[in-house]
Amino acid sequence: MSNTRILEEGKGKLWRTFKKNKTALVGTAIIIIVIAVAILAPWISPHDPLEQNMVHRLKPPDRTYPLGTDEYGRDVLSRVLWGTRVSLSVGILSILFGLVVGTAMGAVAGYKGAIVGSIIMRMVDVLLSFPVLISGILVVAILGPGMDKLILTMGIVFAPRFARLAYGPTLVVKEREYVDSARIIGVSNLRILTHYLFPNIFGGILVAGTLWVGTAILTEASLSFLGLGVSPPTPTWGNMIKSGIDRLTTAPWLSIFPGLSILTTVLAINMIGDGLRDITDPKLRI
Amino acid sequence: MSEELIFHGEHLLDVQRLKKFFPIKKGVFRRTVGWVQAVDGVSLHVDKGETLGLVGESGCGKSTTGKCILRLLEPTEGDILLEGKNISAINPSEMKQFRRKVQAVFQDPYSSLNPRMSVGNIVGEPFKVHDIHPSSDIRERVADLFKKVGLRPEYMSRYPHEFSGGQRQRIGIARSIALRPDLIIFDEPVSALDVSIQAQVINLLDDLKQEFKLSYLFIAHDLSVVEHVSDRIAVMYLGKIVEVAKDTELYSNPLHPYTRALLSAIPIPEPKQKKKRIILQGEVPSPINPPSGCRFHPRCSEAMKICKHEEPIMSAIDHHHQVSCFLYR
Amino acid sequence: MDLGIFPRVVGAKKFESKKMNDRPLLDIRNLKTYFFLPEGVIKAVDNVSFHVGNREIVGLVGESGCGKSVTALSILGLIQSPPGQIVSGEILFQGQDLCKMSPEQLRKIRGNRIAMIFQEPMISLNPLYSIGDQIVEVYTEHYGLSRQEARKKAKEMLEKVQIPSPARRIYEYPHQLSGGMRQRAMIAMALACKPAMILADEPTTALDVTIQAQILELMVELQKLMGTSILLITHNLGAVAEYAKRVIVMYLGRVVEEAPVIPIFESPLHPYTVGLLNSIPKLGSKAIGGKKRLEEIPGMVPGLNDLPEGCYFHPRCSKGREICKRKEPKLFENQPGHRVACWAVREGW
Repeated sequence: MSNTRILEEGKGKLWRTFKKNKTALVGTAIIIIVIAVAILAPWISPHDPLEQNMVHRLKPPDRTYPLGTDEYGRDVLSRVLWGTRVSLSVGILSILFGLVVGTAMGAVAGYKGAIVGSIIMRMVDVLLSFPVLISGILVVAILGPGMDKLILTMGIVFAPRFARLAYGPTLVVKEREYVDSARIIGVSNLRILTHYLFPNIFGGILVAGTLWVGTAILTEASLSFLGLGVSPPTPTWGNMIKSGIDRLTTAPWLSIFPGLSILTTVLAINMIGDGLRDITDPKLRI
Repeated sequence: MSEELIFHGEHLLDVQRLKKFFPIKKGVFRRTVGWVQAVDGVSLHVDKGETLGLVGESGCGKSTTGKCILRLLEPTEGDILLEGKNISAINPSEMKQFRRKVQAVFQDPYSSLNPRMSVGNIVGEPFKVHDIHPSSDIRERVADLFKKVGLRPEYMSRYPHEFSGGQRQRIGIARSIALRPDLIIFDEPVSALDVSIQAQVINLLDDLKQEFKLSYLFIAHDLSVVEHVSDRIAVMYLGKIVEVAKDTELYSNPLHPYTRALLSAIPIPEPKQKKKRIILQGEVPSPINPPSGCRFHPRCSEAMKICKHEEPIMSAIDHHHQVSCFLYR
Repeated sequence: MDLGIFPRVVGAKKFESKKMNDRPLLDIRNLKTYFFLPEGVIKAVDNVSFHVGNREIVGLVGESGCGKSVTALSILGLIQSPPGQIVSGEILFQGQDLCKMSPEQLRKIRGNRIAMIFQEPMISLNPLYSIGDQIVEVYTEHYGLSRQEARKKAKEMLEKVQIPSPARRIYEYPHQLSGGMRQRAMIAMALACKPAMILADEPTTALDVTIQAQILELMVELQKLMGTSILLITHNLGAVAEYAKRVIVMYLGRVVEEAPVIPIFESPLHPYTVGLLNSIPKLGSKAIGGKKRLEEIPGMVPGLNDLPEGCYFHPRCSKGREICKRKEPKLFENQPGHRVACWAVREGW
């Protein structure tokens, strides 16, 4: 028997477990569609998302404009489709970035404890005392606008939240006897973090992470609205909702459709998170 | 403080006047307001090929002693010598050597194995960490270890939760012998197991000791188990060792009043033999504020005036029997 | 005080090897408690019959998964349903079948006529009330005493279980007490309503040896004083040998042997009982006979969802023969009062 075979067997098992979780499967299907839309946006959009047409402004959904038009007469459907690109990448990438950095911080603080831990966690607490938007503004002000900066910014904004989330479970897990056992064998601190702590705290963090993707998408909207993120003519779900919110009663389609897009995406990611938690726990594997 | 342990050359493990105090912190500024005197001046030694049993009730400091020896806790005071070398001040590479020589098995077979690692990887972890075998060999070595402890190597790719308590303890034991250590410290290795499984594990430990010429420090609260596995037994009470004796000697001739009470408290499965029981009054006092003098005096039926004021020291009754009690001075 | 639970006149019934007027306090007949799980039916208690006499201490021993705790929960009517259910059988307590009672009637018996002591008193004591208040409540609820009188009674009860300075302890909360003290408080609460029977499920397992001895002595002392019966459920064979009069050995939901305490320990019949007794190290045996290897029962206790055919013990039994693999041995009386379920004993091979 070789190591690789076991590994492959393991992979098969993971997929089997994931597949068994119908919720996760549906979530995956939806996300695949959303990603496809993001990639294919230029080809499947019926109109140019930036093309203004003052004659057709604020039209409710009809045949030519299935989701209506906005105050500049731009096609809402095309804007939603194009907006997928920005929103999805900003939402997912920034959370991923925040998750990696934040979890590392929280786990190191929890595992090291004493002074190092206190310093990290006090810093985290200070950062957490600012609302997401305010700290976002602060960081953007330092880094400057642009989509890559935006992702970085939001990553930095979410990192302390993940740190908090990782800190508690780390304190619990590091007291487990298997961590002591690892130290007795001579396992290095780094390996204890990566092989003993992370795998055991990851499930909960992953699920929370998927929840925050929604928050990230909305934060991106707010920042964009303030001119600190993606600049206005480029459609994102966030800035579409923002600009439509004033006409919620007269032209509800402006914000409803990007809103539904966010809802669907967040829900799908959540459903995947559920399945991912199952496969990270060997007890739930089949 | 003096100790008159008989010293024949070099012991495998020699613990001298070990102390471990934990600070009690209170308030916003985490001011230290007191100390838990978990281990207070413990001296013991383990010779090559020997099993030393360490018994005592919960809170007596036996596990803390074990953790200090394993360097999981930093001792407050005292020296720990392995083959004559003081391990309190060793550099990282010496530490790695130390890790190869001293291993441990813990009580709870449910929490001592990483639930996210396959048991094959758990047992193979020591090899990986110490770069002993090329990774292609590791599986074979792990399979060997599995057979040694009575597990089927086919189970290597399974996860800990798929095993029973006894099997998990075997996995822990396999991991502990992987590096061919000199000393294994057991902390309540069988107390979480069912009676019929206990015997299997105890026998396994006996076999491995023979085969690999191991030395054991066996920490447990169950005196009948400790008596069975040990060559010598040290009895601990509230952070101090009160008596050390050869296994049979401790049973046939217990000297310290605490040892006697402990022995008499154990119910034996022989219904006809109704023994006279010494019921200890009260409970073990808190190690935060231990009694003055002899720590056992408030519960001791034979306490004298001196016991309250002066601390008894370990004195040798004969070659392998020491006791710390004013009755024998 | 509620008198409704005292026995009505029941028609004369015959009990094997029991005189008619000496009806046992608790008589369990063919009890089956199953758990219906998606993976299958778990037969946690499978056709168990035994009795506990008046003023008798009976030991119920076995390893994890043998069904001893589920038996206790069945008696108390505390089986979680679903998934658990008492499928059939009778639990006659003072002549009345507990299985047929309404939850309301059961609640009255529980804690009043049958009290319980658990392994971890922390979960059975309410952390939000002082232990005094909890005992006081027993008196005000069950006896209708005024708080003043109840408080006095509670203090007396704490004195009885030898809790030092009860006047002060009465105001303390469970977390302020040590494990041993908590167990004493638990006993005080259990005994407050003068129950006819105490179910003690591993009452000393979580305690230190010297405290264990204190608690067991106390229980037996109070048992003598108050005339209570005790069903002592434990895996500690030593405690059973010292305190029980009769012993019931269970394995995987079935009773495999039942006998008075001396024959169980001196001439056990079932290979499982024999194996269990031989596998525990006996204090002092080394001083007499030198170090011997412990005898072990090979293999492990199978899971309740993965039971063998025939006698459940046959895969681990050295005496097993063909029939053991196919047919379940029934309990039979080998000697008066000594019942065993084993083909080898029955057929004398």
